[in-house]
Amino acid sequence: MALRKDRRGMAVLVDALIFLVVLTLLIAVIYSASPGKMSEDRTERLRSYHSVMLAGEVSANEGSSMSVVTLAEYLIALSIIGAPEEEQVLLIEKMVNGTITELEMTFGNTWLVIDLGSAVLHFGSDPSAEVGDVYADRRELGDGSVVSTMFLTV
Amino acid sequence: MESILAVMVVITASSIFLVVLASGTVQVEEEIDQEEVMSWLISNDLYFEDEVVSLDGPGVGPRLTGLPEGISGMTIVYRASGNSTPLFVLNQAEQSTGDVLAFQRPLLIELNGTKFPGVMEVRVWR
Repeated sequence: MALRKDRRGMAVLVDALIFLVVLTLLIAVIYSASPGKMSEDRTERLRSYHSVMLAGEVSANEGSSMSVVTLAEYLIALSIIGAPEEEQVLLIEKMVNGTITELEMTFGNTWLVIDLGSAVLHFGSDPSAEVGDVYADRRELGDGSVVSTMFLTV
Repeated sequence: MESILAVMVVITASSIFLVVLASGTVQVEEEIDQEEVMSWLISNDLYFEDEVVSLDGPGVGPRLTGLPEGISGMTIVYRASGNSTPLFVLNQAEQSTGDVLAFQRPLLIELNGTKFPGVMEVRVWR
């Protein structure tokens, strides 16, 4: 009789444990939904950093034959002229490096691909070595002949 | 007897669990709302989404003349992207007694006649 009661008690205890496990799993599922918001936030941050970077100014005394223009305008002009010279690529690198470094310090590995039509420029960490989730912000500049895509992996 | 004990265990565990959850919820509600702080910064011309913060010239630049409601201290640092050296610092603070909310936003900074990508770093506390 005592043995039967022990078994009943054990069964109820096991039920209690199962209940707690299920409850924990339920909470885990609820909390696992939050990365969606985090992902949205990273995408938004990437978009805003990319926008600000493209709005930065390239001044005439920095190697451009044009008056002060934004980086986006400079890239459009380069795509019309043809393949960029080394000096022009270095100027673009100088313009984008700060933003890439900032994103790498804050979020994770970052790289930028600028397709000028006549040439494709890569800046930042090597994408082939990346693992994990990759976020991207793609911008078509001008008539779409220039595409700037910023990638971020975490 | 064992059944009663088991039921008590379940009730106790569930209660503790719910109390922990509830305390977490209360804490979340007490946190400083980042979006509210951002709205305040925008309305006080300390941050512009599509415009430029000019740091050119003496006396030019954003000013921190007050604080959002319920906030006792705030520090704002403007610096170039990828460079940790501050270009401009605004500070209005009492001693921090609790959690500090820290975040940053990209923005264009105008200095020496050039507009370049920068970052606004904000630290705020109650």
